[in-house]
Amino acid sequence: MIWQFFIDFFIPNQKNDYRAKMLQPPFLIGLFFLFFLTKSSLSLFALNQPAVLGYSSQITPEQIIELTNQERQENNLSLLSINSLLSEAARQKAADMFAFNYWAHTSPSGRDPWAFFKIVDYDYVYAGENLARDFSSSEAVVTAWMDSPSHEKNILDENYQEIGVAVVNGTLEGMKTTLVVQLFGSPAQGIAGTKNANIQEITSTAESVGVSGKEIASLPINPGQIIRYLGIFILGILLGGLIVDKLIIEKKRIARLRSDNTAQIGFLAVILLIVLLFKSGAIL
Amino acid sequence: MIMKQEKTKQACPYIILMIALLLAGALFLLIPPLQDKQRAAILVLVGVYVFWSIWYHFYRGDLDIKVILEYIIMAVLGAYLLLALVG
Repeated sequence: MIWQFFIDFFIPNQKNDYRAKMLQPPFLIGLFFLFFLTKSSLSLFALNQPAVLGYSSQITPEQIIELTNQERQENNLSLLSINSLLSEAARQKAADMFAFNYWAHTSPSGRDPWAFFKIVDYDYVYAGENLARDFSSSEAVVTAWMDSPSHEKNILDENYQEIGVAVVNGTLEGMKTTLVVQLFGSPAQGIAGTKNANIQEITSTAESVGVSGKEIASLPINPGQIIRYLGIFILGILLGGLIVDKLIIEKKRIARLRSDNTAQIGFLAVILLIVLLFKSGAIL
Repeated sequence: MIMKQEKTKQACPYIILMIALLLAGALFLLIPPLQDKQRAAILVLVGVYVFWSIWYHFYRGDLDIKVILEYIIMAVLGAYLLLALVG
């Protein structure tokens, strides 16, 4: 009885209409919901047990500033000097993001990045903001920013003179993460006669959220890694089932009205490749 | 010779599919880690796959809703796995 169940589940035969049950729509839909439930449960668990889940990070504000200045130097731009007011504004922005649980340049209540400049009394002519989360090294953060035109534009903007960076750990959207806030500015008093004139405020434009992955060194439980391993397991099972199905059907020369195994194997193999090569981190 | 030509003809749709899927996969991996762009790349990937499946079975003359449903379910599962990665 159990043996027959396993045969029907894994091996195409007359009883399962020559398609292993694990490759039939009901099981695939069930698998989808199982993955969905696991992902949702992990998010809920992370939200309720933030101390159990977490990321460790090797990111420091000093490294971010150094790497940012290296990029500017390579592009023959003036180096940015550290401004403690900007650093404090960045720290307050990060604290606000954790407190109100948002991943955006503007808070749900409508507070924009420039509000934090005002809180610390930093008068500016030009200002900019870059955000990053879920990276494990300063190099990865700056590389990701440099790969994005809008963030690169901020880093290589000749109008900026000062910088402030905050690297803060906390729980955001149910995931313990390391948040990096990078603020740029040109003080109003630094440019004679231009105070409050032609004020430009620039944030990088695209929005994103990212989780987990290869680059994040994990503490006891890392939900992103669990999702990744579960995904690899599911893809592996399905690929195995499809290969067995293909071999048996071709050997027995059975004609049937089903999706093409070679195409399905190719598709899942590409998805598996992406899951294996995917690197963590998100910028905003 | 004729048999070889036939085999090449049969392999052609798969080669087209794999090139398209690998290009979409490369797009996903190489773009900056911006969620909107990554989601768009995932949509392109599964869109290419479902479109190919319809074209392929139409071309073979065995286009059937049951068959396309299998592709769509697999595409949705694959897309969801990738979306879970980017958050």
